[in-house]
Amino acid sequence: MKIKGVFSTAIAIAVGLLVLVGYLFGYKADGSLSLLGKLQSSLLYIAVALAGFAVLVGIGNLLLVHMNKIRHKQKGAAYSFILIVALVTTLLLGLLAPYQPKAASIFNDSFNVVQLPVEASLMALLAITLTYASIRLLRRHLNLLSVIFLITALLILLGTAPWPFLGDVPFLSNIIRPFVAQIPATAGARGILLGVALGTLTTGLRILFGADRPYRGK
Amino acid sequence: MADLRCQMCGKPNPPELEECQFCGARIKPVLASTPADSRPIEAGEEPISKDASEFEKVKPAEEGSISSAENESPAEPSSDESLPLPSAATPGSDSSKGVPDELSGLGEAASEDGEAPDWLAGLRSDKPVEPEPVSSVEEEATAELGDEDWIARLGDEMKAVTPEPPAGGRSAVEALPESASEGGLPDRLQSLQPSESGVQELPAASPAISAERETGGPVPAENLPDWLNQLEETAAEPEPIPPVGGAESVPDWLSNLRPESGTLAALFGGEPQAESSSSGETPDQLSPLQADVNAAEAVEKHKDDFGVVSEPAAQTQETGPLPEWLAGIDRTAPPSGGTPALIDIDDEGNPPGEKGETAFSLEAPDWLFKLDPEQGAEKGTEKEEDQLVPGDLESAELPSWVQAMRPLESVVAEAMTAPQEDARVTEQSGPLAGLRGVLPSGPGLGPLRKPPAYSVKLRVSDGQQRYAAYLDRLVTGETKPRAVGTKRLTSNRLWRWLIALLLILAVGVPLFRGVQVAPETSSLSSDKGAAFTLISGLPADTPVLIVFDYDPALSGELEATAAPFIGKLLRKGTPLAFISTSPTGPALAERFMQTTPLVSSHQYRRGEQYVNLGYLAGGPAGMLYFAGDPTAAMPTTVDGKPAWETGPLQGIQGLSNFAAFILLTDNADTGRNWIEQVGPRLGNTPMIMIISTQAEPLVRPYFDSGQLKGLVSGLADAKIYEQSDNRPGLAHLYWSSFSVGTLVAVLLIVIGAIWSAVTGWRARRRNPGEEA
Repeated sequence: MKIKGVFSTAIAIAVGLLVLVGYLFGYKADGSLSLLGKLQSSLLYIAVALAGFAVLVGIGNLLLVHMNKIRHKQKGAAYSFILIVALVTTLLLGLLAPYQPKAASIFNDSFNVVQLPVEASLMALLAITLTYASIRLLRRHLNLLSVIFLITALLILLGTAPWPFLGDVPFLSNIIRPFVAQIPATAGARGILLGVALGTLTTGLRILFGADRPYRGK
Repeated sequence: MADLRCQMCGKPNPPELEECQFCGARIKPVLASTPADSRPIEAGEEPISKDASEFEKVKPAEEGSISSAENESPAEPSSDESLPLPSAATPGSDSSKGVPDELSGLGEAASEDGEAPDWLAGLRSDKPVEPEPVSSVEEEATAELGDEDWIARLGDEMKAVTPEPPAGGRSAVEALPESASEGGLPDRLQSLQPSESGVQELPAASPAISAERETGGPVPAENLPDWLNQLEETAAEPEPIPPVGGAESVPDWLSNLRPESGTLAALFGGEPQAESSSSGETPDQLSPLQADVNAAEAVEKHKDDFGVVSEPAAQTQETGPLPEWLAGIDRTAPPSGGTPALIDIDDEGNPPGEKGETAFSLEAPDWLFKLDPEQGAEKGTEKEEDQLVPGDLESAELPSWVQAMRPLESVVAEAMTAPQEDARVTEQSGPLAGLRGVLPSGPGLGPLRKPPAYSVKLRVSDGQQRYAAYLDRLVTGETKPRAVGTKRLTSNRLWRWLIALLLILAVGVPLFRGVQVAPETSSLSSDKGAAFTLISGLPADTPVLIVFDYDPALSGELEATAAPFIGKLLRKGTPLAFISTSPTGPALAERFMQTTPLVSSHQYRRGEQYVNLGYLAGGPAGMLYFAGDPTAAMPTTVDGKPAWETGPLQGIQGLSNFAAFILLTDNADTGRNWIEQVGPRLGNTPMIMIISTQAEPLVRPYFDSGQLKGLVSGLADAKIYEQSDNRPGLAHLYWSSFSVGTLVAVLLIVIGAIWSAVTGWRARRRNPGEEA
């Protein structure tokens, strides 16, 4: 192993251990930060600053990619042009918003009028698409699992929303829906989460022990 | 005459027998010399007339073969004009009539060699002779001979390469110098006579004597043929012999060799000089090798002197000029296709490297390459001395040119793998019958065999043809484009529009018409009122931290769900602080405060009643950092003003100083991260989570475990809290639309699923392989 690799591995292990110990001994009895807590906070501050800078880097990269598409007149260059115009405009409005109330108003309206309705509309389209897919499900896959999947979805829908003129269906809303949502669904999801947690723990230990060195940049 | 004693078994035999009657060993060839023959002939002594064919008969088989090979190897394309073939080319004819005396016995000797050695057969077959025009006489002779009488053909070929006589019909020997026919014949011609005796004195196993040796000896004029007599008349004076100095310690013949050695040195760059000096050290015996070479050189010298042979070929620049009958030979040419050559020949027809060249150098022995017209006279004198000591020849010391005439396979086989002992095959028929291991049986002949011919027509059985047809049908079916049903696409698109229209109407009509089709809910909330109770008990002057971590797409559900609780806080005048780990969170917070019913009516002002801290980068690390030191993590507001010195957050040092921590999220993972990173740092500050319905199954365990003090999930819980607070808001507005829309969706799914199942089942029944 080269000196560079040893150096970076040592730094990674030390930082990981400091942050981990900061969880356990970061606070004194009076609630104030201990030395380990302050070390942990300093390291986390660096991480937050780097993460914020990473967002800026991502925005810059997005800008360059679409500018190249426009320069080379690739397919969808018009959409790239629209993206760049919107990005630059929003950026300028955001920079001026603290100092210009008019700019702040335009900045908020651009979000409320453009971004939020667009994303909400996509969610509404998702509702229609899911409905159509559920209709077509048994045509393409007429089997037991498809039937179970479809029946479960119908039970959750009927148990979540009140029936017109009827209100809550007593047995379905109080027993069936909570049971399906809390027992089978949560059990499956928890199993997945436990697996993810064990994998995360193992990965963290491997990094702490130096077995994995994802920070080498390769 | 007394009985002859067999040299092998020692028993006496009658003198007329040629072979021992007891052991079968040959007697006469060994003992057939007369006492006069055994006596060395002195210089100047009158030679005894003797037919050379007599000696040729007693030569060992190898020597006869060598002679044949020598004459066979030149392979000069001959014609009837250039090389007159005597009509008596058959074995039984007198060869002395048409050929010089020294070659006359070859034919007979060859014809009598019934047992030809194996390498001799190889020589005959490997001879790289170009197809030459054969005269009618020769064709007749060949026809008479038959294929098996190969040795007779050797004699014919030997005659064919006999030096061409001059235009006047004189042979090459006839063109000898005049002095040769007189009593004062040159020494080299007089020495021809004792050569005969010398031949007789040779041991039976000695192969050193050849026909060339006889050519060096003197022949009496009466025994000479006519062409030789004419040669005596027209021959020029013999070439002067270079003076020899310092000959006291060496014999005469060696002294005569010195000038020649000097000449050889001039020719071969010193190597012959070394050989000469070494031979000079030999006491009065000439190396048999050197004697043979000299004898051959003498013959060739005579040919050149009398113009019998044309100019040396240009290809002899390294080894000396070649006679004309060797000029047409390409030493690198492959053997003719008709011969079963035992050597590898590459694609270009060249023999493999130097071995091949060595093999084909057999066509012209090395002594022929050493011939120099200027040295003929000197070598004639050497021949005299050479004839005196033939008995010193040893059977194992073959002359180089004899060694070079070994079978081609023995020359080339050095590079080949030696055949194993058990792999040798004993020949059963032909001239090589009884010999073992003569011809390579395996590896050498393998590549030369003609490859078997296979039919290019494919043999396919009926079953294979049927399978091939199946495969072809499958491949064709895979690559065949399927027709796209336009009508079906139109139908699907219509169904999609119809479903969208029904859902829009189901949601829109109750919303915009204000029709309440759904009754009030009687169910309890997810946390059974814990969140509402908690919020009701919060102090009014302590700020509450609210996290906006949901996407704009789900803002409709989250705003409606959070409005009753945030409105309750606003009614109390509780200062608020907003933060988000989503870039759109700060904007959503501003929107929530300005547009949401039950909230916007309170006219909270940013910077005074609430503070928007903005976007917190770093995900879980940012959450942890913010939980540890919120003032350092988010020092300013979105307006760029200090967040913690003035306004509602004045005096707040940590998260535990907030009255409550409320999280609005639609993602269970985000909620889990906040619980894991910030929950331990909250102290006594309660954490309440307002989430989307889709995240409830994964977040509820945190509420059940007590990490969350309150949990509000979806529109149903919001409706419950609105009803309990008796303040209808967005939940009330959406409630009927939510009820009708969900019911329509359920009906569409049920009806559509049944219809799809039936149509799909019918489609599969019509065409089992088709996918619906």
